[in-house]
Amino acid sequence: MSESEETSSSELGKRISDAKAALEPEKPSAGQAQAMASVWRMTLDMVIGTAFGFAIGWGLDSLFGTKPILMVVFGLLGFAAGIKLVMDEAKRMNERARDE
Amino acid sequence: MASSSEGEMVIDPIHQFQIFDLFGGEKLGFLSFTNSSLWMVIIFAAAIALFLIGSRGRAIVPSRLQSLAEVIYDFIRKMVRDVAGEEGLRYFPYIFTLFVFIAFANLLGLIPNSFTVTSHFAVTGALALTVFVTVTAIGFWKHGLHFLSFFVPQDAPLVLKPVLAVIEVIAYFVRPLSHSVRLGANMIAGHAILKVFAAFATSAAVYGLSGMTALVSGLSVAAMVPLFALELLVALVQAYIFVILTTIYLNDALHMH
Repeated sequence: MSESEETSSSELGKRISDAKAALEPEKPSAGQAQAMASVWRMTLDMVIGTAFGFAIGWGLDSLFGTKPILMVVFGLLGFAAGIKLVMDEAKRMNERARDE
Repeated sequence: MASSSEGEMVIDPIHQFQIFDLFGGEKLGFLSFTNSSLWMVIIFAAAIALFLIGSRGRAIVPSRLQSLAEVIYDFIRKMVRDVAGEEGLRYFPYIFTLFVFIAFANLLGLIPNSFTVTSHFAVTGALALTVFVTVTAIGFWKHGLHFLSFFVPQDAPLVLKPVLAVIEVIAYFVRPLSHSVRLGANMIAGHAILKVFAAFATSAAVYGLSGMTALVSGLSVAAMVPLFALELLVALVQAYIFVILTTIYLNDALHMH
């Protein structure tokens, strides 16, 4: 196969795929929905994480009678857990952006 | 909803979330058939109708109903494969069922005077808990006790490992909580706001037609149109978020890190 024939066949392939893409019906974009999902996820995880941590601390405190200490400790741990969930989501967003 | 007999306006946006017995009552206790149960039956009927009637034709050029059913099916299937891989497709029926149920619950709840099943944390909590239990069981079933190493970050220094493990465990338990609160709170907030605006819209009827009340009524009706459109979007996006998170959790259980 000569050089010119090869380029013309690849050109033809490109034209075919372009024409196919033009015919393809517009699909609901999953990317947009996923971005929305990410934001919605991040906002709540931190709040719930902190509240959940405080709740655990509260429960353990009333169990052991160490009123404010464990509440503070687990509140902070819960906050850290919230941050961790947000970081996970951010990592996922990064991977998605790299894939596209 | 908006007015009492004295012409005084009472805005009670929470009233719409009340659960009452349709029949059964005292005798059946918690087994009685409530408005929530009725709407769940309607949701199932509508979902089954869409997919049974939609797929009845099996046409190559689909009818409107068939293409709607196909679009939903393809959309969720593609999402599951993207997030959890080919292995995750085994659990596609469960995820698809979740999506259809939540989407129908959210959308049917937008019909005036209907009841939004997903506005109750008892419902969203139960959905999130089943996901939590299922995913955890899959994790232990696939990996055995090795699944516990999911909670220990591999590349952390030894001193930090216990603290990080506690954080990971807390994060694991936070997931079903935020999973259910996100859906329930979004539904409550959206419907309550719609109801507040709807109550303002009747102010002209309650206080008589002066320029001011007519303006308030007109503005709130005008505001409700985009709000309703937004709620329509939120209804579908929340259903999607619920299942994409389910799939993410499933992926964590299947492939761990």
